[in-house]
Amino acid sequence: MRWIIFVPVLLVFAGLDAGVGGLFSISWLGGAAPSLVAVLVAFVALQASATSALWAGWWAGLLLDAAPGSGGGGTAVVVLGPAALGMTAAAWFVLLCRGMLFRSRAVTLIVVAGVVAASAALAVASIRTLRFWLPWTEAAIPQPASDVLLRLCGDAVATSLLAILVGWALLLTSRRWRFETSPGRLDYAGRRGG
Amino acid sequence: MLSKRRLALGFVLLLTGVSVVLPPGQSGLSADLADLLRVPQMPFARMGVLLDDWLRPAHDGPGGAKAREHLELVQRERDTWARLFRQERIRADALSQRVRLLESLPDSALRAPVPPTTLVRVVTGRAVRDATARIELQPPDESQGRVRTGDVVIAADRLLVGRLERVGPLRLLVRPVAHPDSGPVEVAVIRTVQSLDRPLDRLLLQPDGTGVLHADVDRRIDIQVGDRLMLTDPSWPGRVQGLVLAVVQALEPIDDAPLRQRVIAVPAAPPQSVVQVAVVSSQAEAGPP
Repeated sequence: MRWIIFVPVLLVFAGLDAGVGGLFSISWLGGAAPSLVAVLVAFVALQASATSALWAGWWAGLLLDAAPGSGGGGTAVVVLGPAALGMTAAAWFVLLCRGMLFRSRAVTLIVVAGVVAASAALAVASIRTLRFWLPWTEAAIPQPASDVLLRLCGDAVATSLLAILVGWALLLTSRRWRFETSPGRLDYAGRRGG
Repeated sequence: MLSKRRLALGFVLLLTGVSVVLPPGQSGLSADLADLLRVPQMPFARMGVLLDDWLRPAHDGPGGAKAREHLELVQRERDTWARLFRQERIRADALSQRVRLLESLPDSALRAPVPPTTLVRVVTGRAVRDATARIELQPPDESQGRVRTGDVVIAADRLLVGRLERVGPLRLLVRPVAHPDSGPVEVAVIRTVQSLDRPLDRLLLQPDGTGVLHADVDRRIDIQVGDRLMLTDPSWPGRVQGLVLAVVQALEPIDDAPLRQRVIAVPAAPPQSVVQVAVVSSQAEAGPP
């Protein structure tokens, strides 16, 4: 994968998420909002090598962690990690499933983008709950599980809707990302040769 | 055998996992790292906020650009006069109280409103889902050194947003009024028609950490859902007294105290929807350098 393409796209997507996310948020779904970063992570996790996909998920999550208000509950403490681990976990989940998927289809990317958004949100909520139970972290009280689940579903649906347009555009550029080194077929050929 | 990249990834993930469960003593380091990570992202975040600002008027309904401009101008003028009236009203109220006590204070002594010196800042980051989360402002450039922690931040419509909590070289952090650390704040109910001989109905709003503020008040106080609440807290700078702080969202009975009721209010300028703000500089208040 060409990181020189990934990094600017990630910065633009993360910036737009922070800026225009509120415009598309759905108030009756607990403020759920679509995530361009989740679409990008889904796209990379479907196409890139396993290591590159996990690194991409980690960097994307780290940028989300650095965003203002990412601590949740209005806490002033900046915690770098929950979204980084959440996005990495989401990318890993896609890696596990992608062998059964038609990776270059737009429909696949649309569905997987929603799954990435939901998986990452679930992982982040779990880590925040874990931090709350650790006595030395002084973490904020986590949201009720019903609210988290509602927003998680809303995030997934909204991100999938956004992926209809953005995912299609990303797939059009997939040649420029040089995903040919994806290990799926190469590793298989290597095993046959060995 | 694992490649170097995979080993590095495993090590980084391990470090991330450890940092997540560390006590908050390392938050300063994390905040600095977050600042560094935000630097390349800031131009795009600002573009996003401006794009949001550009797209939002499309939801306002029919009406041409000229009509909208005219309406905004009229609204600004209305808000300005309403604010001046409320400031004068508070001053008159305070004066009349002192006159009643001392019977010798000239009522013209405090009737010289000076417009506050404000520094306009663009919001570069905010949490769209959290009404209590801090918002991030464009760092100062020409106004280097003129803003400091504790300065009041207001929205374009003269609505109170919060106070500066951190002034750094890379960003300014604003703590909104609904943040639990902001503490209680004294406000008064704004009346469109009110005789001057009747004292202001004051209440002490307390943020509860969920984005709303509440106060328990006497049932006899005439307060309705939708009433606006203005700042009358003496611990805030005098220049911002009378600005709208919150709007009454609901009134709830209190089972333990039947003669009182709970006022639930939401910030008049929700941090999630603020695009541009002005910092009321306390440095400027002290006089020209």
